[in-house]
Amino acid sequence: MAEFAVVEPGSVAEVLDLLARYGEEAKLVAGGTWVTLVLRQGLLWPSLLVSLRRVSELAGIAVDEAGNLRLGAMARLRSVETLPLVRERLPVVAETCRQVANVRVRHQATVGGNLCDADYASDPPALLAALGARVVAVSQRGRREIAARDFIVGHYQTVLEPDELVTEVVVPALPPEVGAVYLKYRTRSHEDRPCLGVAAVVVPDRDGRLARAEVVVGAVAERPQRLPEVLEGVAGRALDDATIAEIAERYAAGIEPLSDLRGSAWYRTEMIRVFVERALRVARQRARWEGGRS
Amino acid sequence: MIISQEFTLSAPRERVWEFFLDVPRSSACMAGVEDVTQVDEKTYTGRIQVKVGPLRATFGVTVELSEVQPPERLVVQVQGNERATGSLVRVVVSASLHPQGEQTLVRYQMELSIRGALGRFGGTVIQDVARKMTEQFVECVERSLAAPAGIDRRSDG
Repeated sequence: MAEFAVVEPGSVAEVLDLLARYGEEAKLVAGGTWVTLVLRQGLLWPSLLVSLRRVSELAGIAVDEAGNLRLGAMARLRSVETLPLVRERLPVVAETCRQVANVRVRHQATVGGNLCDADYASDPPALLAALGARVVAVSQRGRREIAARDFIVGHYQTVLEPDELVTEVVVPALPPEVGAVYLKYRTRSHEDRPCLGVAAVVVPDRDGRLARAEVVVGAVAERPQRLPEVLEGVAGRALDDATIAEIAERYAAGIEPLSDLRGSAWYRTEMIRVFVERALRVARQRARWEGGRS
Repeated sequence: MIISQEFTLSAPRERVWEFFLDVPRSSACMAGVEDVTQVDEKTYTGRIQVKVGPLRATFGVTVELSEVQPPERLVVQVQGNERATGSLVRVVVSASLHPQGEQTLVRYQMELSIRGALGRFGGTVIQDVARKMTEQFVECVERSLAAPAGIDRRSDG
């Protein structure tokens, strides 16, 4: 295993200073569920581990004036899952976090850590992408917001620069008429990582038609999969069974899945079709169709 | 994992063959390769560092040209040892070269197996990365062959 020093700074400013000085030599530790694993496997060779556990300003969960849910990077998945504020404002976020691993892991794993690990077989990234969440990153050079759907770019690879720290994830408020869901499909044990996960959001318009749909499929490729040409094509249509089946079919055809122990590429293609369809049906059910569904 | 692919190179078969058999030159097309040394007529050693996001693994590699039928068929056995994780990667590449006028069609099959901690932790990721590295390798070979003869770095003699 690598030899490294461990520091526990107490503020964001101190963390940014360390990152500016050490760059790629430093590795941030949030909940440590992933970093511990890769360190022990001999796949990560930092000279400095920067623990974020004393940086209390990163742990908050709040709703801002605009109604956005602001999840601190160090917020534990278990807190997101159980906090009444989240369950009332954005129940789909709590629901998704509840499906990650097991309760012991969720007590440790964090919102920011989960995104930054960029493991393909993960639940929250697909949902955050579908909800249009933004990732806030800061460094001594400044602050920027990155769309969650652009954040992960490859296996264990994000758009973050070595001197940047994720401070929070901002999830926009969902208007009451919007229906949203995350369906996780496990092929082995209950606490397993997903074979695939589908996040679906449907936004009805006043005439009972589909104003906008978001569908993001996670755990099937190196990054969450979203097919903009399919989503743009169905806007303005009735969200009937035929439209749902068409979206599911085109997602199954448009994604080139990987194979792993949780499912072959062929099997994943079949399951993408099944679960995109199911997710859209649930999202349709959860949406409020003022004008009646046409 | 077995990958079967084909690609066409814009160079005649003899040139493609010569390029592949020149291991120091063709291996330079694989990102992260260093210290390529010839051991005997058919065997080379070297190292390759593979980076995936913040993760990295360095393999000590032995390459054996186990079947050489110029200028048609080549079988290469690659064995990689990763000390930090105690993992073993084995790759067998069988390639056949088919002349198509001034171009060459290359058909290859690659069989990849991983043993040890790396296989348990990241087998899927490694397969995905191997596929990408192969794509990059092919692109680089195309570029190298497209470069006018005489300006490559071997022409120092």
